[in-house]
Amino acid sequence: MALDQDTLGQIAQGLERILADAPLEAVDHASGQGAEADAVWAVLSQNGFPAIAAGEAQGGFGGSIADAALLAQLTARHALALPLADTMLVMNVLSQAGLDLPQLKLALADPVEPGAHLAHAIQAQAVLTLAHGQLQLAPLSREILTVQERMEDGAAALSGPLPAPSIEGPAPNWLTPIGLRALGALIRSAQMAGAMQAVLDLTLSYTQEREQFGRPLAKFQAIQHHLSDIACETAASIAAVELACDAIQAHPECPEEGIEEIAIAKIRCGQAAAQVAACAHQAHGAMGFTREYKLGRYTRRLWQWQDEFGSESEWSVWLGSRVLADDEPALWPRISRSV
Amino acid sequence: MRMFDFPRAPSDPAADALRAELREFLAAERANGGYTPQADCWVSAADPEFSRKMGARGWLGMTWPREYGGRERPVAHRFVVTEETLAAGAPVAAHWVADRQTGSHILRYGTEQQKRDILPKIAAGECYTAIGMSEPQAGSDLAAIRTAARRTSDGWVLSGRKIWSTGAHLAHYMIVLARTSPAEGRNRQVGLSQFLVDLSLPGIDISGIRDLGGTPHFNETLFEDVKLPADALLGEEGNGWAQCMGELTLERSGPERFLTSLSVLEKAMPVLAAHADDRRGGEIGSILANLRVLRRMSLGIAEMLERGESPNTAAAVVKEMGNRFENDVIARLRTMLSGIPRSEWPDGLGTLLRDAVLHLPSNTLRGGTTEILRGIIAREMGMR
Ligand SMILES: Cc1cc2nc3c(=O)[nH]c(=O)nc-3n(C[C@H](O)[C@H](O)[C@H](O)COP(=O)(O)OP(=O)(O)OC[C@H]3O[C@@H](n4cnc5c(N)ncnc54)[C@H](O)[C@@H]3O)c2cc1C
Repeated sequence: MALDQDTLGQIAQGLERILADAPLEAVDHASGQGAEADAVWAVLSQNGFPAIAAGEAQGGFGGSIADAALLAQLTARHALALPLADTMLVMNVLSQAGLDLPQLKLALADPVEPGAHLAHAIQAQAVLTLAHGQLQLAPLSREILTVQERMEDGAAALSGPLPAPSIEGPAPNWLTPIGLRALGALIRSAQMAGAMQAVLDLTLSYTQEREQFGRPLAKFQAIQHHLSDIACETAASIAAVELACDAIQAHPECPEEGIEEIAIAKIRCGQAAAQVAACAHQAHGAMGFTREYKLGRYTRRLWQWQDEFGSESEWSVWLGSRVLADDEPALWPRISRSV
Repeated sequence: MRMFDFPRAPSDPAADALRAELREFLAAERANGGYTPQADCWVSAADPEFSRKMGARGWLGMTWPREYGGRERPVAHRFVVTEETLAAGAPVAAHWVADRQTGSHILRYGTEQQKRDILPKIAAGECYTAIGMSEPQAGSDLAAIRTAARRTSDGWVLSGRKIWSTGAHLAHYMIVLARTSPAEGRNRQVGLSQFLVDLSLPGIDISGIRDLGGTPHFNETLFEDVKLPADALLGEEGNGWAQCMGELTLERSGPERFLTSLSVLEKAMPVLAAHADDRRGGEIGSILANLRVLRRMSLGIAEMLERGESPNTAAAVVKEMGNRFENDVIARLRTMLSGIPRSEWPDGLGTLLRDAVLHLPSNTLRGGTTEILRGIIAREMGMR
């Protein structure tokens, strides 16, 4: 299950056009709620984006997780304050489990750490959980949520038990808790890579426009080096996501090797996010430290996504411990493994 | 932006087969005492006998036409050979420069005679070369070189001094960047030319310089009115700067820019595994993630070379990140080893680690410093 490259390219262009035209800054200021947010979601839904990575038999478009990751990267480049990426992912999982697809905004609970804050909780209408081999989609409502202050996109903690699921069924055998967490991590990695591209563009144009000491900041070598670091880390993040996408495309049932590639992406993107955000803020001066200026729309998300579905540290321990547990522990076979 | 484009290499069963062959060969060589793994092996571990063995197996000059001793294999296959030998810490220094850049340069710019004379010897692992770019007063500022070549009735006369040339003491040829006409005002990149210099000619004096660890691996080379034949001019007169930048792309683009310390890490793996905990696991996971991604990017560069592109910014990106990461790896390895009694370290680890530490400062200097590479990347972004 995957879209061919041409189709995917056209779909991405379509999404790009919608995002470029939408009042995304206003949607973001309203935390993805209210009339403007609803209008943007309606356009995205009419164009089929939420179900893009769900099977055609269930009314989706037959895209893969890797396809969803590519589109997630795009939404992050535009700092879209709506749960499109997570909805695409949850729809994909539901469809792989042969379950019904609801026409809702969806969130995914981290199956490894159920106590973690729930991304998009306030924005979404239902949440997918995986426990004891059972997938359950339960409705979300404000009563059971405690909003997480100073987090993006309506993240919240569950303050009470979830209501009875509206949709449920056994998870496919291969879909373990760590496997599902990995799918979430892949989407976050892709989003980080997308946000970093936006940070690079923003920082480049800001430093070329603002002048100090009679010349653009971009002419100072120290600033050029910050930008070079941002570019390098962004390039590495994009490559890391591609690698993980290739692996998951080749082995859609997320075997442990595939999870390792996703771990690598989440580690690398998480590390890059820290450096990119730091360099970009340094190059922006005080302006970047304001709520109003748009750099924060990206860096705040970068810092949040680093932690969601396993931080780079958690995944590093997971990955490295596996290597050290091998009979003949060695790095090279994994570094050079073909996808 | 171009620096984000690291194309995928198509999957290739022939490359997998080649990899298996290499692993078998390298394991056998280690087992029969043919070599002991070394850090920084592509610069520090020269062994002509080993180079000849690789030549005999068809692993040098792999991408060149058969008529010049090559095997007409894709760049990706050469990539397999280079990365496998680096990962194994094999003694590849003797042929490294010739196989990586000089040979391709001769193929592109040399005369028919030079191609027929020299390339088959490089491919056989018998002919070695050195890079003659830097001079005492011209390092990062390469256009400041003073070595000059003057045209005579039947050739050229070369005078000047090159420094830091890795392996010149073993090399048969050096590509020398020299001034052949004055700079045009502030534009110093004009008037430079490249020469393919036979190092056995009279008037050439090569003296070794000991590096930080004490190994005489690089050299100062003095050229005193050296008479060169007319065909020593490589490529076009006055085109030396552009040719040199092409050579630097080849020099910078390979996996040696992030794999020089891997053999040290691998050596340590068993003892790290014996003392596995979250701290060590976390470091290993992070190192693996970084190296895996650097390699993915490096493969993309090989693919660009295969397509005939000239990926200079992409090469700068990978070298810049790779070099800095490598220095970090050794620091992390020291952290992971802390708390493990020396008596438990595998034989040779202490020496390897010490060696790696003593080589670290060179990673971010040779082939273009961190600062220069960042400048190249900034230029690509239109900042300068
Ligand atoms: C192990 C090793 C092997 C080598 N092998 C060869 C070889 O085979 N052939 C060969 O020709 N050369 C070789 N070199 C030389 C190498 O290319 C130079 O060392 C390198 O180009 C830097 O030049 P430099 O050492 O003169 O340092 P300098 O150029 O003097 O630089 C010193 C410091 O100043 C910084 N700097 C310089 N200019 C700028 C600038 N514009 N902006 C910001 N910072 C700047 C540098 O980044 C560096 O940190 C080798 C070097 C090493 C260490």
